[in-house]
Amino acid sequence: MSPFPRLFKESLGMRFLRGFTHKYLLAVVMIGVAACGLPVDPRHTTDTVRGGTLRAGLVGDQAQMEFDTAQLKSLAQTRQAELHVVKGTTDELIELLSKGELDVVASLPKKTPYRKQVGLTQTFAHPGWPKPRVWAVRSGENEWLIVLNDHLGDSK
Amino acid sequence: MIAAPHPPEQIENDLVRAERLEWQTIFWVMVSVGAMSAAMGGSQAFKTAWIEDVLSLLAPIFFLLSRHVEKKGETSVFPYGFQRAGTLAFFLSASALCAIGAFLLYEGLQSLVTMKHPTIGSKTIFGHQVWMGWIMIGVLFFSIIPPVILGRAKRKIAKRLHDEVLFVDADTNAADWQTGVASIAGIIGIACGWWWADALMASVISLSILKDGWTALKGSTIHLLDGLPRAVDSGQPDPAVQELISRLEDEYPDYRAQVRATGRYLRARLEPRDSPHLDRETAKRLMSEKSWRLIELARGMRSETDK
Repeated sequence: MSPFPRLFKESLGMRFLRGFTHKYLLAVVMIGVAACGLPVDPRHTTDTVRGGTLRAGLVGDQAQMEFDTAQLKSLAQTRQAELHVVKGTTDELIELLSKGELDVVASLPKKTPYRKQVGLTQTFAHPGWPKPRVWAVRSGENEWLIVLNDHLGDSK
Repeated sequence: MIAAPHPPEQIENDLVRAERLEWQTIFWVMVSVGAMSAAMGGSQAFKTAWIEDVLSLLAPIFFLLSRHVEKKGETSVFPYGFQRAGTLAFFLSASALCAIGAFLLYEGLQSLVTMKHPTIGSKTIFGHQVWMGWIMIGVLFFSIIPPVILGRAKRKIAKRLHDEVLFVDADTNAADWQTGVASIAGIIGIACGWWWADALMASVISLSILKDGWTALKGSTIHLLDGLPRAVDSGQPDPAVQELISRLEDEYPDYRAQVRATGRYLRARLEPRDSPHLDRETAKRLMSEKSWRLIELARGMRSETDK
């Protein structure tokens, strides 16, 4: 006597559901209206970069760095910011990023072991590269992450 | 084989309905896991939600299993039948609910203490960067509707059936939708740049889940120790049982009435007030070895004329 075939025979709580969806829809619309301009960064990276300095860590092989530098330059231009590049090992750069002394680290392999300490952009690939890459931001900077995704998305 | 007790038709119908509700719960939890894995990929947030969902599957599974064995009658190996399967399931479900609460509290506090700033990325949808937080809110919004409806329906039936497992499961559903609402608020908080919002909301909700879980765990322990039967919703001694005891003791003044619950059923006994246990001589006559273990010899009454 399996109850399966009769599972949805009675439209359990449909009336209840209808009553609720109106209220919920209203809430969703209100959230949507309020959502314009959200998310924002808890540590205001997007705001401080705009019209200021874009502090970028650069790591990778030669071809990679050339691509990333060009990307960072155009990003700095769109944000009316000056580009300040720091080179180093991934470890050092991630450390600086976590302390808030860098705004972005470009670029890391997709499966980077640092992925739990930082926020990562969407992956982007290039015909000449062996593996897709990601850029890293300080964890929690969600608005900044969207800015970068937007920029890298356009560059494809 | 002696058949299991036969409750009235109304109760039988409720039992069938309860089983159906539990199958629906399992179905919706699966759907919710699927939708969440699509929205969140393999992220940490998803892992938390997934563990919680798996734990909330336990109560429905325990209920269905205990129903399955409860229908069996008495056998030579289980001379009392399987009525107490529900009590065991009650204990296990209560433990699962506690585990959900404890897990959420741990996750929340850990994030707060280590000041973890949750990162939620964006995806290109129709050429626009859409923040995944909004997608998650959408999924969470739909995932909280089934537990609200199912939980309400279960709570009502659980009271009628005197089914603690079903009641704990209704609590679990409440925990589900409350965590869902908390997560929505948390993600909105993250959008506003309040990194602590999500973890704080989860911690606050976890306390209420832990409270429900603790009450249930206490109730099931009382049950397993043959304590005074409790009301299914309040966890306080059942007034109906109190009434039964005082009525029995009025009618049989020389006896002390003992009532215990085996699953949803009650068993009442009348014990002579002046001698608490079987006398040694009778025990020795009946048992040649370790006769000290035999402390009671009772004869069941099947009607009041059976005196």
